[in-house]
Amino acid sequence: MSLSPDSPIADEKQRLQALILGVWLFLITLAMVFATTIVGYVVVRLQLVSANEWKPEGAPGLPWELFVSTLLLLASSGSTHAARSAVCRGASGRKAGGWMALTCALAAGFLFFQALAWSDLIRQELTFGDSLYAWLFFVLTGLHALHVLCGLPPLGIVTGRAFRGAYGPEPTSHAGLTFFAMYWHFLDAVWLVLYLVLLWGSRPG
Amino acid sequence: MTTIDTANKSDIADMPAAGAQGPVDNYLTWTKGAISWIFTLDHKRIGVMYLAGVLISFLIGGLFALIVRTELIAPGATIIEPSTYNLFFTLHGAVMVFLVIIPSIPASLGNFVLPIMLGAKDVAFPRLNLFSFHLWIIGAIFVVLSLLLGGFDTGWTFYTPYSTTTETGGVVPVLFGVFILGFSSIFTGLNFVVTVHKMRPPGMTWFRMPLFLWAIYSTALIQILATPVLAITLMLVGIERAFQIGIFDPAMGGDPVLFQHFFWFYSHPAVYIMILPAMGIISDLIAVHSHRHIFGYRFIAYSSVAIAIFSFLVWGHHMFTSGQSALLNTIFSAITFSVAVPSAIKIFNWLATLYKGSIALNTPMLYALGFIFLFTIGGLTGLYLGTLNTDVHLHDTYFVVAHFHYVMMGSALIGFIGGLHHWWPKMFGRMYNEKLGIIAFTLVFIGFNVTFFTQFMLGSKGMPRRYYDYQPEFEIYHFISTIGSYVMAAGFFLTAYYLLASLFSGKKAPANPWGGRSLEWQCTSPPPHDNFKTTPTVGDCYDFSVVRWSDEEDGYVIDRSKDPEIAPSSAHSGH
Repeated sequence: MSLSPDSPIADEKQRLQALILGVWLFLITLAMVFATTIVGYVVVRLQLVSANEWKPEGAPGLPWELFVSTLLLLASSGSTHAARSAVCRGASGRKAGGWMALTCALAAGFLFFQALAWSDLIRQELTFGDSLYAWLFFVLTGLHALHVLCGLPPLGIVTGRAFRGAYGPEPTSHAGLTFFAMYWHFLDAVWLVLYLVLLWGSRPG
Repeated sequence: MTTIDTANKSDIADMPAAGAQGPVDNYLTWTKGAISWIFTLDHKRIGVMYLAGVLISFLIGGLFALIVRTELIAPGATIIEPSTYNLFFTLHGAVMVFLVIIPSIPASLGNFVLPIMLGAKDVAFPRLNLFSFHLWIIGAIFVVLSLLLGGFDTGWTFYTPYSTTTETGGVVPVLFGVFILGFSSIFTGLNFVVTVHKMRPPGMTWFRMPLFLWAIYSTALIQILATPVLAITLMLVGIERAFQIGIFDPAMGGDPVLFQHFFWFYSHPAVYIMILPAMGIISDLIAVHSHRHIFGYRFIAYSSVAIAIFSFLVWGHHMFTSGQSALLNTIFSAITFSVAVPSAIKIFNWLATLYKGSIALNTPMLYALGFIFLFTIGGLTGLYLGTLNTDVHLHDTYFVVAHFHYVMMGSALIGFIGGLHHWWPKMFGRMYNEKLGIIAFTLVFIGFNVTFFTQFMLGSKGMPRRYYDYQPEFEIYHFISTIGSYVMAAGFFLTAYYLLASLFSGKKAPANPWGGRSLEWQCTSPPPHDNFKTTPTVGDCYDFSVVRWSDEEDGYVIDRSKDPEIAPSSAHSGH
């Protein structure tokens, strides 16, 4: 399959470079989205802490599930990288597919523990509409989870193609895997920042 | 649908301007039928469709403005109810900003001209380009939907807490519509950045690019960096409106001023999304129509980038009266003044280009000169608003309304109309009626100044903006301003008439009617489907010494033998 057949750029290598630059710019756009929400979180927290109204009486802190999900997402980033290195070395489709299957499992695990964290908090009666403490937690984790969910269809496609041995060692022959890996590492990095911010925010003052 | 575009037709595109009169196939007649347009991947067709959308939106937004001005012609109720008035001024602002000015130059003229200026067949990602056009249409549908659901009266700025509590039913659809339009704008910007980085032809270094491309490039960077901030902010407002809780709600300890910070972090750079492409057009118009090498090329190019950078550091000057700390106010005020430097650099370089040029006073050039005049007024009145103590008096008065109309309409839109006249023969292969063009420009220029210069006086006398009713002492100013808006409207309707008429009965346009030197003047008018058979080699696109008039062509031709840098059509493909 040729890379981006509509492109007016004749040379495949240059076409790939153009696509990679495009993905970078798109990730910068998404980074601005997350940066805005994080700035909002920090500003509102600082203001509410100084008014002593940040964390409501008896509200739960950061649920333990988030620590597990953080480890899972980190691991999934690692397995994606392993799949890509395997492809670059020219390893068999089974090997790269195996790593990508592991990524699928880890991604599912991440979302499972995020959902568990949400239900845990709701069971402890921290509801969306009660305080900005809760509102911000749900909006920020929800926004990130939404982006992970959007990554699942490409993840499925890339995994299937890896198993079929569709990716070769040449950079132009595994472009799809490269783009997915860029997106996935990005979500991983965003989550790490978000986790630290939430950890800081879960303290009452 | 791709088969339509990539259909294997024999390539009869002819690169050099010479012999452009023959029955050459062009992008307009390449394939037929509505589907071949709606799903086209051709940047030229996408640009033309954007142009149609932008001009229809301009008509609608303009009619809203006329209703608002007519209501204000006399104090008290004139033609509409106060609540209807609130809807109309809001709609005027939202339509003009999000559907007209922001997409006007980059998405329509930029899409059409940018790849041709680069000697390329298309933008880097044609399918993404089509996708962003479809997003634009969907966003526009949501704006129309919000109208049907009762409209919205928040002002185009959607300030909280009013936007989360007002009873009008169209707020959520319009927020969603603007969100989608934002992504349309982001993808267009992304496409342009990649295209400029990766697809410049051999010989075109960064500092050989036409200045229009520098402007579009700087604009695209702002689109990519600032628009996502608006998108997520409007989503947060939407969530807040739906659940009646959010970070902008003071009742729960949220901060409405935080909304203003987020909003202006986008919307101030957005002002430069509007003005920078217009400045790019003016740079090219001034050079081409005075047939003189642009003066201070590097300074104009760098000043575009400088304006793009400054644009991110001045948003707080919209909030001097919001309770922002005195220290922040002082810092924002100081940085605001510094924007004057790159802006003035451009003005002085344009004036220096005109000096001793052989100036052709045709319609595009008149718009360019009009731009310099109006932008100077718009820019200098900005200094009164950037100065803290005068701004406290002038804030939220008609002075502000007049100032931003001088910049957004008198400059950005006038630049767009000038560019439209400049590239119209290229886009449609027809010349418009030059006499009517000059008359229409005169009407627009006089009408504009009568409408908005009066508003500087209104504002400095204390007339607040957005008001439905006013004290009788303001009546004469409002009356004059409204009459001016009618004159301006007459000018625009006349423009619409002769441009449309030119499509049917206009004289056939030569490849190079103005004596331009950049690549778009070296393919036929209208350009062939593939723009260029092979990637052309370029020289200095502001060196007009090799351009000469040819009676035979009824247009200008480029004398290639005079320029050692460009071999006659022996351009090598690949780059």
